[in-house]
Amino acid sequence: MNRPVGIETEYGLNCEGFAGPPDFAFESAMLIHAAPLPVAFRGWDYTDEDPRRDLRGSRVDALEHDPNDHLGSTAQSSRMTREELLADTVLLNGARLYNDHNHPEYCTDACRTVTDLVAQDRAGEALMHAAEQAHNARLDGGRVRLVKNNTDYHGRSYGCHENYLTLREVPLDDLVNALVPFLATRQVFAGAGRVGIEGGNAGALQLSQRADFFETVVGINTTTRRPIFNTRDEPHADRTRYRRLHVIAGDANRSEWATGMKAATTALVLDAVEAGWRAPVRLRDPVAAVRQVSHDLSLGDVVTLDDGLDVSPLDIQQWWLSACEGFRGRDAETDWVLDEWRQVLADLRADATSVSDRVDWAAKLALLRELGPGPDEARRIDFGYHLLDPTLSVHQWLTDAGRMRTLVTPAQVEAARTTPPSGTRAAVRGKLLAKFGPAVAAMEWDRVHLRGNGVDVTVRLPEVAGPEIDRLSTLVEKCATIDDVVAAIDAKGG
Amino acid sequence: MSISWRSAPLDEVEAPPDPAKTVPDEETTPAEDDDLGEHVRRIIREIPDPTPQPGGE
Repeated sequence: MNRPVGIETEYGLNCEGFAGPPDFAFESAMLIHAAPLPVAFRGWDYTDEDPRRDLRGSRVDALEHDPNDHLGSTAQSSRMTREELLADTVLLNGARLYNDHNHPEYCTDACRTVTDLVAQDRAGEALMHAAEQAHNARLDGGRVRLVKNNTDYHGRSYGCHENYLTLREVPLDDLVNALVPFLATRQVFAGAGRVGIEGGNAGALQLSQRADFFETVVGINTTTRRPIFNTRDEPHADRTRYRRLHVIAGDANRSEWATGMKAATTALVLDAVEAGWRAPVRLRDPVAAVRQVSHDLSLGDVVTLDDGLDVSPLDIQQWWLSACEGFRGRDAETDWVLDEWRQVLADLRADATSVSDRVDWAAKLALLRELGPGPDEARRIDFGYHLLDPTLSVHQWLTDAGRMRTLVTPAQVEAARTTPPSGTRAAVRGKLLAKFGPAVAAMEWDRVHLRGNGVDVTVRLPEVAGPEIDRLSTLVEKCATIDDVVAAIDAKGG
Repeated sequence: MSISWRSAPLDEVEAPPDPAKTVPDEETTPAEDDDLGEHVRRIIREIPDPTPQPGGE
């Protein structure tokens, strides 16, 4: 990919057998504290975080929250310190693990390749399952099951967000115009599938876990009035040069292919916009389109353009793919992504079940057609698809049975648990933590503060990738002490 | 348009493995007479019902 990309996943907590209402914040925090981590930094520097800053140039007084949200008990979490409750943790692979209010969240560091991104995301699944096992072993009654999905089937949603470094000089309207039709229709191959429609047929399969939860086209909120295009402005990098495009209109995929392709195709669209391409069409009602596409398994002409023409989501994807074909020949990975994108659209036009080996919703469709379950059992199959426990995971069974394609090997996933992705500042942060862990006093995405032996130094990482990061990575590799780090930075003017 | 992260050697980026050529490990390949329905139904019987959770993001 021609830009740094990361994925942050909030895991669902399915709580059974508790004596009273579960305290989700407590369970989420304690699950993270239970994660078996031989080396990690506990903490996070929130000094420069400001989720209220809007890409449109303003800053809201407060983010909105759903007043009808299900919160459970706070009997135990209310007695925790802020540090205990947040459970902020930074891993050797650069990933961040923490309690995002009521859900354990694993956030990969920035990756440059599809393989790295998928391996880091899968490493998160493995780590989370290990934490789940360790947490349950400590419980005295009750059981927590982690689920990598986006809805509790009781009217609430939690997120899987993608982050793309983009150039701030690109006009925001051009990004919105290019991304909204793309994200509204990307679900044809990136949708994780869901049995049940909010307020509708509880037994119907739809393409996306999240489609029913989007209410606006553009906005800064994320937990209510969810927008297709989120305008949170936290670049975690040089603010004068970059935006971090925070994509919330996506599903948590179990398919490795879908995880890689949703990010790689989005990155390609951003490449096209930065190269001057502008979206040729707009949707008349993007919010309605997201739902209509998700609810129509025939992939028919359900999207109305602003000129009144009805087209298929596959048509829109085909137009966006054509715009990105200009990047063919750039590198082998780009060609692979373009080939896969073209192929999946062709396969979807022919027969949706032909992509059941790589598209999550199609895998569910094929299985449901094969088993012919009633609505309740269909929902259990759907839910079970996303469980992390491999003894119960329907997705794991399909993979073991050779029915789902994979992009990375188990060895690559295991390595990614402790090895940062290459070519981004993740490698710098990971190496600093591995070499000088006890001296790490604070961490954020764009800086590491080291303190020890009378030395107090902040390694700043305003770039996410590029020559400066490569230089720092090489320097840190050679340093044996913090003094060496200070000397190296001073010598190079860092 | 100058993009600083492009200075990394993109032409050395390799394509992901062709997933069409991915084959399952021998030990996880199901037997030819494996009964899909019974196998999955055994798993499904043990899947818990989804319980209410807080919303997130």
